[in-house]
Formats: sequence, structure tokens, C-alpha cells
Amino acid sequence: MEENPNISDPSVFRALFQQYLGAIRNFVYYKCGDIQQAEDIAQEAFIRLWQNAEKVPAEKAKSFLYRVANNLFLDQVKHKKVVLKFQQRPTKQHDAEDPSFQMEVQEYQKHIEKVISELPEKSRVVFLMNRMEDLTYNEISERLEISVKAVEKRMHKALLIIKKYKLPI
Amino acid sequence: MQQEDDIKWAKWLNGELPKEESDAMSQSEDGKQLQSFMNSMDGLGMPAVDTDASWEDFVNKSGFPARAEETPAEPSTKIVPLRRWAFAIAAGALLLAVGAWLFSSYSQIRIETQMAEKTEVRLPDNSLVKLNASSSISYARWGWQENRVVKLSGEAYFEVEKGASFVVSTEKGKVRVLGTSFNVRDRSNRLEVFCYTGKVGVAGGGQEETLTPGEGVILENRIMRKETDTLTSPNWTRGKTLYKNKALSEVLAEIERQFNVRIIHNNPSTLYTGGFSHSQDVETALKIVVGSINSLTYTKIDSKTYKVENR
Repeated sequence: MEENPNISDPSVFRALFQQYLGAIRNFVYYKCGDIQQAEDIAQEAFIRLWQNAEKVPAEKAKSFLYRVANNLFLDQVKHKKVVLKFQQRPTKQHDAEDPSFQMEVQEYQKHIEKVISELPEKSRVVFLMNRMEDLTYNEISERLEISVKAVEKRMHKALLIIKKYKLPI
Repeated sequence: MQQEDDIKWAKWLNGELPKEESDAMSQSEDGKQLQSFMNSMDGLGMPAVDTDASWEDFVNKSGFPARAEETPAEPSTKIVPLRRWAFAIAAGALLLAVGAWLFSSYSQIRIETQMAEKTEVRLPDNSLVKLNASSSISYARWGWQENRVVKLSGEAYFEVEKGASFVVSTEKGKVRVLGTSFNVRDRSNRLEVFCYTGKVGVAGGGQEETLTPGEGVILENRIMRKETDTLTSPNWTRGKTLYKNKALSEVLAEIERQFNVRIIHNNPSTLYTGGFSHSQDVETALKIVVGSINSLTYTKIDSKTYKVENR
């Protein structure tokens, strides 16, 4: 039970991979809206981390992953319009669904996706890390290597934009 | 707080503002609009990530020594501390048992939450325990520093200060750590332990597991299985409960505990994925949970009793 596990230890690295792969994938997805691209970039970020495992101290591994993923994204980006899609969490039973209710839910979800997709990128990423992954402002600031105040500003900006949109219902 | 104008909605959403200011903002049109937007986002999630497939792919591309994890040398180096833990767990448990027996109830400090109640406890070494509804912990009045053992029934989240071993003992198994944060949920026939930071050893049903951050185990009918997640603290400590493919009866039991109501049902076999917020009322929780399952409906019988049945 050492204080700072060395990430070049294969079992430590594997645990890191399992814990953060999803978070890094999501982070890139929030930026580009392309799940396949997000998965490829997340995996590439871990390859870079492994190549640098001897040099990167364990406590920096997280922010290293986010930083590399961001750079990879910037290299690949084609500045196309971002269209985010999310999944409905509740498992629905499709036999006896009320079609008009279903449509309302779908309309509503489309509206939400549209509003979020149109947020400025930095605000969108912070907003979704907080709302979709339950990361605190502190955790986001650590992962993105920005101040908590900067996180709050981006969050505030996202909320200012969201509250301007009236919901369809 | 004029200088905070550029971050005030972020503070509001995070519940950091003084009550008056926060209430006023919540009551405003903007606040209501944001709240309803956030509520409807609760139902949305990201597609699951296939960690195993991605890991295989990663191993192929990166030249990662995949074999290294599977050679006997690696696990055995991990088993050594584990065995030592096991003895310490046994010794700790024995000490606790003898101690508890000698000093009977006065030697124990006991903290209990009722239905619809949560509380936070600081242990003598400043370790933090957040106790979920309808749960209890007890620990020895004396000698805490030498013998950090907490008996738990129900569900609690722990942030343990560094020091000698810290043991959470439940009927089904034991959790042993040094300094870390983790959640233990001991309800009906399941024990669930989830590790958020540090390392956590779990022993129960004749098996042992070491958890690193993001890993959890479920012990059910003496069978232990591992699971992973990306959360950094359990949702219930932030006033909501989220489930992935959980038996509906367990979800209803949690609603009973959180809102202090009784729910009559005939153990529907449905699995539920979704969640509810503790700060709303029971009807909202039922609407979200039961309302998402089309074959079921709920009715109010009286202010403390609800019935869930087939449509």
C-alpha cells in the first residue's frame, strides 16, 4: 500500500485504464459529438500515457490524459458542427407505450440535446462533466488543470445560455 | 455579492449560496427554468464504454505486457499483504468481539438514522462517516486510535483519515482500509462495497478482494463479483440515488427509506435503470421510477402508504 503507486506497474496502469477510459471518452465526446472518434482518441491518450509511464507521476496521470486527449482532438478536429446525443436512462418496455407521451419525451430530449450542443465548447465540457458524471467543480479543475473559479465561470456561462431557452412544454 | 456575478448561477447550482439568496434565485423564472432543465437531464446518460474490448485493443497497439498481470508472480505479490490483512481483520474482529462482550453496551457508541433521515458523524480521529437513511454504526468508546473498528448495518460512505487499520464490519463481510474513501451498503441479502480513493480490502463469503479507485464488489449469496464505475463519491451523499439494472423491489425499498413511507407491491421482477432525487417529494420519486415502467402504476392509499401494481 504505497502512497504513490507507479503507473508503469502493469496492474496499476490497468486499474487506471478501467477507471478513466469512460471519463476521457466522454470528455472528447462532449467536444466533438462523435462517439467513435471519442473512443479512438481516449484509447490513443492511454497509449501515450503508457509510453510515458516512467515519466508521469501517478498524481499527474489524470490531467495528463485529459491534456493529451484535448491535443489529439485539436489535431483531428474538422470544425464541423457538434451534434450531441444522449441515451435515455430508464429501461423502457416497448409493448404498451403511450405514443404521444413517447413523442413528448423525444421532443424534449431533442430540445435538450440541441441547447447543449450549441453551448460554447469550454462551457459545454465543464457543464457536462458536472451534470453527466457528477464531478465536483474541484475535481473538474484538477482534471482540466484550470482554477475552480474558471470552472465556475464556464459553468455560470452555460447556465446563462440555458436559462434563455424556453422549454417546448 | 456583486463581484460574484460572473459565477453566481454556478454557485447556486452547487448549493453554495446563503439560503435566502439561493431561495430567491430558485423562485425566479430563470431558476425554475434551469431547475426543470436539470431535472430532465437526470434521465439522460452516456452510452456505456466497453472497457474490456478497448483494453484488448489497447494491449495490441501499445505493446503493453498483458501477460505480466496473469503470471502467478504478480497476484502472489498482492496476496501477501492481503493475507496479512486477513489476519489483522480476524484479530481486529476478535478484539472487537471480546471488547464488546466485556464492556457490554456502555462501551459502545451507537449512531442511528431513522427513515428519511441522513446524518454525518466524525469519529474520534476525525474520519468522516455519512450515514444514509435507516442505517446504524457503532464503535468502541475507548481505545479508538488502536482499534479503529466500526460496525455497520445499512449504508454509509467513509472518508478515513490515515492511521492504523480501519475496519468496517458487517454481518456479511468486512472491509479493511488504511486511509481512503469508500461506500458500504449492507441491505437485504447483498453487501456492496465501492472504493473511491486509496485501496480497500473486502473479505466475506470465504473470499477476498482488493479494490482500487473505481472498483466495487457485490457479495450476494456468498458469491463475490467485481464491478467498475467512474463516480467519485456515491450519489446518495449528494441527495440522489441512481441505479443500473437494479431489481425494482430494491429501488422501492430505498424510496421507503428516503421518504419514510410504506410501498405495497407484489415483488415485480422488473429491473430498473434510472434514479430519483431525495430533495423532491415521494410522489415525484414514484412518478419518475414507476412512471418509467409502462406495465406498472402506483396509487396513493394514505399519506404514508402507496401501492404499486400492474396496470
